[in-house]
Parts: sequence; C-alpha cells; structure tokens
Amino acid sequence: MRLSSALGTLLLGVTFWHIATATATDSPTVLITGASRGIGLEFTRQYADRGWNIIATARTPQDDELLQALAAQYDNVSIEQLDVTDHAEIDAVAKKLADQPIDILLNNAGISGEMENQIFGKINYDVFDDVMMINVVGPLKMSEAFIDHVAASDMKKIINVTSGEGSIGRVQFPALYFYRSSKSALNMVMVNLARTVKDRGVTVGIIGPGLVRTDFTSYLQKLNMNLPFQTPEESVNKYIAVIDDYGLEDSGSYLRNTGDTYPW
Amino acid sequence: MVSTSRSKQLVQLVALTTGLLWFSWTEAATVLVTGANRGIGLEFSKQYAAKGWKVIATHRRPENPATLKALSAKYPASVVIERLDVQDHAMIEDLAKKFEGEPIDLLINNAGIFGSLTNRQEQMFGTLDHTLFDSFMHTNVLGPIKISEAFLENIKASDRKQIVIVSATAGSFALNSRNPYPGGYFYKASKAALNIAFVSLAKDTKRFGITVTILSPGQVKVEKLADHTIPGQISPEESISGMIRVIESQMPTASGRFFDYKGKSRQW
Repeated sequence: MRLSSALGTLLLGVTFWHIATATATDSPTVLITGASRGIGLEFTRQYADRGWNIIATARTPQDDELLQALAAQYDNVSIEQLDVTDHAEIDAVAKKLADQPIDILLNNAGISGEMENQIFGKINYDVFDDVMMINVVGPLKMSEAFIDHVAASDMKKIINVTSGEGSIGRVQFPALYFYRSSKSALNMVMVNLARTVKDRGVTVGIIGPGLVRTDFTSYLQKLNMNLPFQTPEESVNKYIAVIDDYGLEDSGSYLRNTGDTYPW
Repeated sequence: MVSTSRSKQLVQLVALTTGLLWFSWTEAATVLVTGANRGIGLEFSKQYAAKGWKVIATHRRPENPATLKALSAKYPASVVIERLDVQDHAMIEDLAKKFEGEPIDLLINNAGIFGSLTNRQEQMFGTLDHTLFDSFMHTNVLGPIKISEAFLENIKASDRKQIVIVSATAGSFALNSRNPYPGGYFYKASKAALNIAFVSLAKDTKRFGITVTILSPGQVKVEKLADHTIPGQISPEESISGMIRVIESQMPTASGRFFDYKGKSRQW
C-alpha cells in the first residue's frame, strides 16, 4: 500500500513537473521562418537558450540535421514544415496553431538570388520571381496569416529580417538588382504594415542583421575582399538586443543590428 | 593688346557654347516611350513629336490605338507605332533587334500599373490578392530593367544618352513613413523596388556616359482617373512639360536622382 501510493505521488509529481517545464507558460513564443541554417538557426538557438518557446520552421525540416539536433537538445523547440511561398501551407500551419499566441513572428527566410544572376548586361530574369516570392510576399502572407496570433500575445511583434542592401540611399556599387529590389519592397510593405496594425498594439520591425558569415553571403566571401563579417552568433546576439528594445513607438523604423538607423 | 585678344577669345568661347547649346536643343533626336497610348505616355509622345523628335511610341493593345494613329497621322515622318508588352521579354528582345544600330537618345520607361480604383481591398492588408503581385513587379520593375538592358547599345550610340523612369512619390518612404494612404501595398512596393533598381542602373551605366533619371509626375489627371478627383491634380500637359524641362537639364553627374515634374529633388 505505502509503496504504491509513494510511487503514485512520485509519478504525479514528475508529471506535473514535466508539464510545468514543457509549456513554460511564462515564456514568450517565437515563430521563426528559415530556421534550418544561417541566422535563422542561430535565432532558434539563442532564443531557446533564454528558455523561450520556439516554433522553428523550414521547407524540408526532416533533412535539416542541425535544426533536428537543436530540437532534440531543447525541450522548448518544436519544428513545423513551412515553405513561405506555399500559401496553403501557411494557412494550414496558422490554423494548426490557432490557439497559440505568438509573441514574435520572425520573418527571417530569404534568398539572395545569387550575385552572378544579377549582373547588368547579362541578368538572369528567371530568378526574379523566387527572390520576390520568398523575400517580399512570404513575410507579407505570414503577417496576414499570423496577425491574430501575434495580437493575442504579450509582446505583439512582427520582426522582418531586411538588409542594408535595401537602402536606396546606401547604394554604392551596382549589383544584386533583384535582391535589393526585394528588400526595398519588403521595407515598403512593412512601413505600411506598421501603420495598419498600430491600433492593435502590434509592432512591426524592419531590422538588418549586418554582414554575417553564412551560406547566404558566400557570394561575398568568394570575393576575398577582407569585409568585416560577423559570426552568426555575434550578429544574432546584437539583433536580439535590438528586438528587445524595439517598441511600438519604433514601429516601422529601419534599423541595423547595432540599433543605428539605415537611411531609406 | 592682351585684353583685346582675351576678350576676343571670350566672345568666341561664348559663341561656340551658344552654338553648341542651340545645336543640341534644336537637333532632332529619338525617344522611345512605353505605354504611349494614353495618359502620361501619350502626352510625352505628343510633346516630343511637337519638338520635332522621332518618337517610337509603344503600346500593348491588339490593334494600334486611335490616339497613336491620330498622332502618327499628324507627324507622319516622325512618329512610329510599335507593339510592346513590357512583361513580355521576347517582345522586348524582338523590338530591340528591329531597331538594332539605331541611336535612341532617350528611353522613357513609362508603362506601369496602379491597380484597381474600385476594388482597393485587393491591395490592402488582410484582403491582399497575392496573385496580383507578379503583374505589378513584372510591369513596373522587371520590364523597365529588361528594356534598359535590351536598348543599352541604342542609347550608347546616341548623343544625349538618357534613361528615364516614371516613378511616384506615392512609393516613397518619405511619404509612407509619415502619412501613407491606406492600401496600395503592391503598387508602393513596386515603386520602391524600381527606385533602388534604377539607382543601381545609374551606377552601372555611368561609364557609358548615360544619365538615368527617376521622375515623379505629380498627381496627373489621366483618362483612367476621369471619375476620380484627387486634390492637387494637374493636367498631363503641365506634368509632362515640367518633366521634359527636368530631363533636358540633366547632367551625367546627377545620374540616379529622383526629381518631380517641377524639378525639385525628392527624398526616397
């Protein structure tokens, strides 16, 4: 009798403890697109380290070993398959997560289109649509699909990973026609979104990560120009600090991960 | 005497400069205008034809539009009508091939779409019709880039070497970060996208002596807006004559800048 009631109490205790730590209802929830590598993966790691609940999404997560490893390492990381160009999929995931408030929607997934495709005089027009669909329409559709989830949360932030390359005032050497157009377009829709959702208390951030050494910038790394690359860890560490401070009064501001403003 | 010969030189220099300026002002040149069948494009075509320029007026209607037929009848020696859908890259390439070797002084990328005036929800957050996105980007951004690439040699071969694109302050961050009108997401995004693309293009073509100018025409009372009165609207005549003055005054050193029809420098 005594042993079974002791075991029963132990079991009950363990169960409650498990529920308490797994849901961690105090902790904010972040949904990250493009979490399989690069800064997306690093955002997942650093927010998970904080004990936040992460919904890490990627196009083919079953193939992403690093992301799978993170999910195995942290209880608070879950994975969803999500291609930001697949609007039906976005709607399905939004529906699946209907009761889940999302404190930060981090629109991180993006592509460069590759430098060699965007050289004036021999532009490869085939990549334009992909660049636009992923970099502009993706974040816009994600924002539409998850606005209620974000508005239902405490932090209410939609953060868009843009780039200094989208700054018209900063254009120095000619290159990356489609990529730059996509980031300028992203900046424009998000400036408008900031206005649109302000009365719901939702903050829309437009923040660039600076120059980071990941697969994404391999086109720049190849140039061997001794550019000041940050590691993903450095970039994301600073970026998260900027997100922390980015409030409703900042909504629609175009910043870099140092907190400085970019010119439009 | 030293002063006499120097003043003589000065007079000669002034005469030469005036002569060159006069020459360049009155010398007939060639302009290609996209979306020339109505609105801003039509007014550009009319005014350049009246200045004695050769005008290659393009449109994408199945038949030559009445407006361009009338213009061509008025200026039979100098107005040429060509069919061109700026979203169709094969058509762009074919047209460039047709005009291969012919200098084109001025390329006016005017063809563009604004979106439905009655069904504004399709460009408003929450009811966005994402299937429209491509047409905005392909018409307002990709087409102009492709045309500029395709006709680059024609422009290089000319005297004036100018590329112009019709943008809009409605697509400027200056306006949108302060007081955006609701909606117009795709239109605004396409203007931001073309602005940065053409600033890059300006830098890419500088070495050829080409001047790229991004223009805001103002709020023009065009045919499409016949039933919509917007405060501050101006006539096509006023807008285009202003823009032409701006185009005429451009120097290669100012390539890649954004001006309105009054010649005022605009913020992105």
